[in-house]
Amino acid sequence: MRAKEGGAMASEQFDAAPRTRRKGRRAVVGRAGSAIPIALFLIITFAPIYWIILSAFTPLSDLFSTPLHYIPAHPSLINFRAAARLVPLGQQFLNSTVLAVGSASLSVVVALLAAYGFARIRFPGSNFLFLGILLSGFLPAIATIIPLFETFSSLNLVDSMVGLIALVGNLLLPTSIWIMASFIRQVPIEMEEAAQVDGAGFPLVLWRIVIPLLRPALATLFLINVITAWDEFFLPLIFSRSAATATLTLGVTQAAVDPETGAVAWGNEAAVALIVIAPVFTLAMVFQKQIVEGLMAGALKG
Amino acid sequence: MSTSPGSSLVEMTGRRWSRRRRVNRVMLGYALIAPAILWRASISVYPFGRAVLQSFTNESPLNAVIHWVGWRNYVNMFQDTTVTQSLLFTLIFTLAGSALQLMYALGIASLLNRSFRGRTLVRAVNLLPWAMPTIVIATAAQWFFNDQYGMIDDLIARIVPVRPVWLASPTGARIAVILLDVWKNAPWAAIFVLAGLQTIPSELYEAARVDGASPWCTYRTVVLPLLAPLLITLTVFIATYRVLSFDIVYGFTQGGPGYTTSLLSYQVYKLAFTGLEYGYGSAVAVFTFLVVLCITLVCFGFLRRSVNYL
Repeated sequence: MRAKEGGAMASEQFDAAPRTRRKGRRAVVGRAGSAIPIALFLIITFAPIYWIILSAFTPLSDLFSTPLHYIPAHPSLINFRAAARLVPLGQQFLNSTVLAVGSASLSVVVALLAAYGFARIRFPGSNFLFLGILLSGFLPAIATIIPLFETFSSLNLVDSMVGLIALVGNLLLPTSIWIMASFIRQVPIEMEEAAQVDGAGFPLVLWRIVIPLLRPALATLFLINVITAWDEFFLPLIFSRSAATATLTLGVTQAAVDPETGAVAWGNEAAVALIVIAPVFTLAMVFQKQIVEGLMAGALKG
Repeated sequence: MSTSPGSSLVEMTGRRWSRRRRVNRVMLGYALIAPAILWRASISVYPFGRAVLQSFTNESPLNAVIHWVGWRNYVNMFQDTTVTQSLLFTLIFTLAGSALQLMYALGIASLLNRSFRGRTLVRAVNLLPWAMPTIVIATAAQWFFNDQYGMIDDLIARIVPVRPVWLASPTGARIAVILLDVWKNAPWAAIFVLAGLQTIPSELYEAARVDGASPWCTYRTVVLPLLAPLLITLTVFIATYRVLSFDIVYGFTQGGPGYTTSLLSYQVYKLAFTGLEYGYGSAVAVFTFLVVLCITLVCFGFLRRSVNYL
């Protein structure tokens, strides 16, 4: 019940402003003035996506036609079958899922603990370390990748899912701590203090009070991290060396060329592309409110 | 659940449990942040330190003997056209890309801030480019911008009878890379701008309207100044991500034609993982980091000025 209140509180904060402004804005802008830019925006945003979907279901011979057909003349699944022969899609889907869920869960748990420490406990050096973690987010992966590759090679962590989860989770950490800390600061501290006075230790406070109150925030952050990790390409490119650890984002580039003919294979590529984007698009559409709130939470408290 | 009994209890028993409890509390603080610190330190900070050291050596899997070469790598990179060309495009990409992205994001955010039927759906559509992996749209763009079978030229040819060959000329390729990047990343920036717009109280719009200000005038004199701090912070992130972009060039142009669309990150990748020049690659990587650092410092300088100004 408390958790719901927390969620309502957060969403009210974001919705209140536009609701009160609605009347004033309508007078200033007017309805017809919105329709054209909105249509334009939708076309610009959706056209490349539609192009990928269209190409995935269109046989290659139809794709090489001028002018283009925007409604497939002979829709078929031939590209999916061809792509599945070239690229181990099942294995890659599994690897992408393991990587996304593994690194997202791990980063959310570590971020929750750290953000709680930074937001709720005063200790010497806490501001310095908080800033240090956030600034370390500006250290580009590219500037660490060469020594990392050497270290990971000597530890046998190249081409392992554990290694990839450690790398991608680390990438997610600074923003996760930032977003989590801003969520924790929105929750009133009284219940935690009362529980402490009653003698509850930290594990109990965390499990019984903090986590239930933060459940919506944790779910939101997990979702954002799953999508970000699923989309990751650079780290798998360097650290995945075999089919056992290759992700779907690597599969897209592998499907680009037909190994038998050496010809470019846009249809196959589009089919794999559609398989990569379908899960994240579903998540984004279903949970758009939560995702936008989560991203905004990081922006506003900054 | 009222808090007053709790706090008075704290005061009453304060002296007895204070010292030991406070030490425990501080230890708990360190224990909670320890995993995060260790993780960041081992996978970001420590390797970066090693990269800095490595950048002064000739390290390579091909060299049996590694020795210290001083500033030679740093001097060489400015005579290496692959690096200077990459630097040039990185700067163009960062400046033009950030500016366009910011403007487009402001436009999207103002649009999504209006009230209209189906706004929720349009906001959801805005998330799609954000949710899409960059490598997917980058590889798709090879076809999207194809002069014979691509959708862009098909649409252009239906209106005016030209079919621009985007990827054959440096300028065309650069424009294509920048446009693609703006399409992919402006929606993300727009979400932050939208968050900022929603904090502006409606009274200010009313007041400007009563004073007879035009919408554009209101925007320039009320909205933009209030958004300035957020926009500058956002610019830091946008510019940083532009300098460090990799996927878009890897998937789309591979730096071509020539090295005209190569980015510094892409060049580091090529040097280290195709050329096996670890020392030299690290020098270019550290240099890339310095570019990011400069941009960040300049932007935060602006931020401090604008906050004082407001």
